Amino acid sequence: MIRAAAILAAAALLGLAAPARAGDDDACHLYRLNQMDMSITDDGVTVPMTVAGQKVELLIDTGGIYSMLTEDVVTALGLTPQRIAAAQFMMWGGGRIDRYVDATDIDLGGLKAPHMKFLVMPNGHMSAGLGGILAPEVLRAYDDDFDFANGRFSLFSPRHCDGKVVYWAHDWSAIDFSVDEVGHVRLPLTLDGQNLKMTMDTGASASVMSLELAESLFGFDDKSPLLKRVETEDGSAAYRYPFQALTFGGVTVSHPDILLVPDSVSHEIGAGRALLGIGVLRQLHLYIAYREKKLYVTAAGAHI
Amino acid sequence: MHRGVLALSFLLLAAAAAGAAAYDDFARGLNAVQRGESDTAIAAFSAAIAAGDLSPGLMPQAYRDRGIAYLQKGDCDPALADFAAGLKLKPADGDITRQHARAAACIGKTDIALADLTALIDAKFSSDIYQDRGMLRWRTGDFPGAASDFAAYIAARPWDAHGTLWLEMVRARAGQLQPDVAAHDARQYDDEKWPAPLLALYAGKSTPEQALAAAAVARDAARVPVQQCEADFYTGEWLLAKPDPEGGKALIAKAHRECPQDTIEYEDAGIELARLR
Repeated sequence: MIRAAAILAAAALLGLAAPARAGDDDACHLYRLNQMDMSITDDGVTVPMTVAGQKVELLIDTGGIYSMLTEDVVTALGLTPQRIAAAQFMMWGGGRIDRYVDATDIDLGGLKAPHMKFLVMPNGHMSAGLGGILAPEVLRAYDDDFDFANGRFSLFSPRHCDGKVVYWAHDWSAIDFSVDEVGHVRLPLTLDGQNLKMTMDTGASASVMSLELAESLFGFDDKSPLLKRVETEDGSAAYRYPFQALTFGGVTVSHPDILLVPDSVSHEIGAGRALLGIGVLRQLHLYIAYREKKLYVTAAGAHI
Repeated sequence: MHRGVLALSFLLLAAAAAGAAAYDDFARGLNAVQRGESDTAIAAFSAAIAAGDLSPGLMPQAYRDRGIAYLQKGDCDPALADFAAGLKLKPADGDITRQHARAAACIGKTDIALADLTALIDAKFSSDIYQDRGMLRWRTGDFPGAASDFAAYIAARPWDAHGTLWLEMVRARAGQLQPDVAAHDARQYDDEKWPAPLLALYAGKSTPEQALAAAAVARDAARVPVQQCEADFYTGEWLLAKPDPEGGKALIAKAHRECPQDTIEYEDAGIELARLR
């Protein structure tokens, strides 16, 4: 595990480095390093990256850990996987990750790197056409701007004055967040008047909350008539509850669609936890300032 | 002067508001299509497209997802038109091309669907496409072609037990089934888990009666109807390959009567019955 982390930390690309700051006078300028067309799918949001001249569509996955390419893409690119010595990872739902590739000639919306290491993801964990994920070990090196209404994703330099980032609106909310041990953003939010923390996961199609957490916060039990069982692909139990409002500081998403999953079923989110997936997030304009540990947020269409 | 500035400001605000409304419709459509609420999704995407100021980058997705909503309803003609409109805006997009193939197949334009899928395979879009083309080839009666596609699919997805079941099924229909090879293919799967009894049938290790009986047993009772549906269909196909056309037809007809309508086996049982007429 340690070895794998070291390999990827070195990759943390980042040859895709931010430009040097011109001087203190420029300190409050906001530097957009790139801008990419962003596809919004059921799985999340994707952007194109070029590897050795070939386009690969990557899921931007703030809920991931390390960036990966699928076996299909590794084969198509003719890359040679290398074993990760003394380390391996398991995918949720099965599948071992024990190899990485050194991809060359990387271009991410104009940010270029001669080399970048990716873990090799077993096939079958992503929708067809998606070639891998771009995970927090890369995303955290920048500020990440999700402009859903215009279908654009941008990386900005984190070198700017604190608080001087919202270029698209006059009014916004700024939310302090924490980053957990694997680089995931944990946001303090208010759901139907109750405070809770949710992990922001742009790679999750649905927002998901522990059923037990919801029961303890909102005082219902699994016999509540408001709780509706929904069919999941694997036939496991999941429920919907008619939540009214999820509030990000001063920005509210009405009737947020949040799946409630018993802790016994959901190993993915962890007991007592909650994930904020793309179904809710795409209703917002989000700017994640990792260095500041602040999320700047407006409604998706709240543009000047 | 002031009035002009005010008028301009108003126009800009109005434009921004319209754009925001278009995106809100788009996002509402995405949520609805994800929940299978086809009519809501179609209305929302139609509003977003008609607004005229949805971000150009999102227009192909609006057409694609409205097309998916039409497909969910079984309205394949407007679905095909939407995927074609999406491809016009975003030529050669792999995902829209795949959906275009689905819609074309749905209205019987098999040649178009096969051409789409072959183009995706040539472009190395995803090994999933071998499965799509394999199923389409099975539908057209090209069993050797289907066997070739499923072999390629399983080479990339060796853990997919149902994919392996399809591989053995189409091999059987192509007259290429070798039970010892099927047994070798099945060895990596948990023989306590579904669809192990069906893989065992194709591997020559059980009988149709045993496979059908095994379908009635599941830890989760909710899984039983799905298992029975699968047992009827895949055992029916095995019997057709024997050949036992009467026995096979009876089970395929049962699958078409009793399978949940959102299953592949329901749809394919209908296609097989039409072929048997």
